[in-house]
Amino acid sequence: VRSFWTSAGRAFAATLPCLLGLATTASAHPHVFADATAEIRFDDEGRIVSVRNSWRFDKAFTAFAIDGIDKDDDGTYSRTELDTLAAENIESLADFDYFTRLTVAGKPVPFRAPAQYRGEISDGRFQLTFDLPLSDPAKPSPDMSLSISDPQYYVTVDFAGEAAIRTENAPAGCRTVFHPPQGADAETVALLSMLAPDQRELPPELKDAASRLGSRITFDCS
Amino acid sequence: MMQVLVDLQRWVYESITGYLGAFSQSGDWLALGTVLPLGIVFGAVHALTPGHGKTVLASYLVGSRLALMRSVAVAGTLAGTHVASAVLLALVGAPLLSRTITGAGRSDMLEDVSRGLIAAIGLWLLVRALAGRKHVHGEGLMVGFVTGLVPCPLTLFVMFLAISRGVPEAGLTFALAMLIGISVTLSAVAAAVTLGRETVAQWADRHGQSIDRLARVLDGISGCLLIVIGIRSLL
Repeated sequence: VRSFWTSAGRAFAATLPCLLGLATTASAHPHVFADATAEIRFDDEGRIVSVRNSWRFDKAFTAFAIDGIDKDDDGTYSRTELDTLAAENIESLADFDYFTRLTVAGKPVPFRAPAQYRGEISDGRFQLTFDLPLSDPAKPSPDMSLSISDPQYYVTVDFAGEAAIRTENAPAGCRTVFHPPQGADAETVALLSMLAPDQRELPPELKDAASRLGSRITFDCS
Repeated sequence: MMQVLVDLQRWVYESITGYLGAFSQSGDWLALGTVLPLGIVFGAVHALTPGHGKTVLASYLVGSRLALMRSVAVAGTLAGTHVASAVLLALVGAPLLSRTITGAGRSDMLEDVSRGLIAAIGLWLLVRALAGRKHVHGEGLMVGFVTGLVPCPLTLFVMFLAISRGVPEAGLTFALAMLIGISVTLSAVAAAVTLGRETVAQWADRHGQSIDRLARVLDGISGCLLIVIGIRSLL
């Protein structure tokens, strides 16, 4: 009997690191949930000029975010109050590339800071809409990929499928193809789980891998 | 799998906030009560995700000589502080908090204090291991407390929602459910580490190694791990 417990104990000790690994590798730790739409805007030469993101946040985050912004305390949120809230968030998003990553052949295309943005509150949910311009307009190509997700995975940006992606002024024969989140491979999950719990900036080599945790959009132009 | 976990969390979260909204209209405690088990599951699943002091907890317990129930008490203290600090911040400490989407509900100040203290405890464990001194009573509970100082953002958000709907008591009820759920997961981690450590100690004993020596080595490893964790998150 004793030897049974000894070997059982040893087997347990051997699998312990794996158990602990398992406990820490379920790398899903979203705290804020947003329903998203994206509108990809083209110029007359068929180039992409901007991505208009719209994110509608969950009620609990909204209650937290809007607490205290009703400066004149009149029970409603004025345009100024909502715009201040939007501006603060746009500013903080700059450190995270606005959760928006456009790559051509794997290389990121730079964006400029949004000039147009708006905050709204309806049905107890805060909605942030902003137009994110490309630094240089770019023609859609088969190796182009647009992913919209929080690299630190603190916020989930959920697209309700194909219908959540729109285009404006798209050239004839060009359409967008929506790819739902794929989840990450075991290696990425393991790497993500080794980051300090409050590390907010991902190392560059993980950014691509982490973007697969979110939705992706590609272009099909014939 | 991950997507399933996220979808599950989101679904439970929305049910909870939905019930909370309904409660603010109806004041029906029975209906709110039915959502409690859901809150416990939510807390348990959420605590499985990275963070939540699991690494600190495991690192400390590896070197400690705490018995099973005491290890579980450390886990419970961690969970308690994690949830209670969120509740307290919601009630009084809003200015300490980051409001923007990217850092929502986080307190840089508290995170830094917590990490700094963890590193300090690590240093203390290391020095003690080198000097061969004994453990101090209540030390484990302090580790749990310090690690838990980082507030739980989800508890915080739900508290704000409850307060804004005029039903803070419903927020507290949810916080209690979260606390139970998080405690269950962290206790399981603590129990696994403690049992694993005991197994190694018994093995060493049979092979003629001095338990004292092994304990000092483990204590030293714990100290180093905590210093690394504390400092890495501070930088």
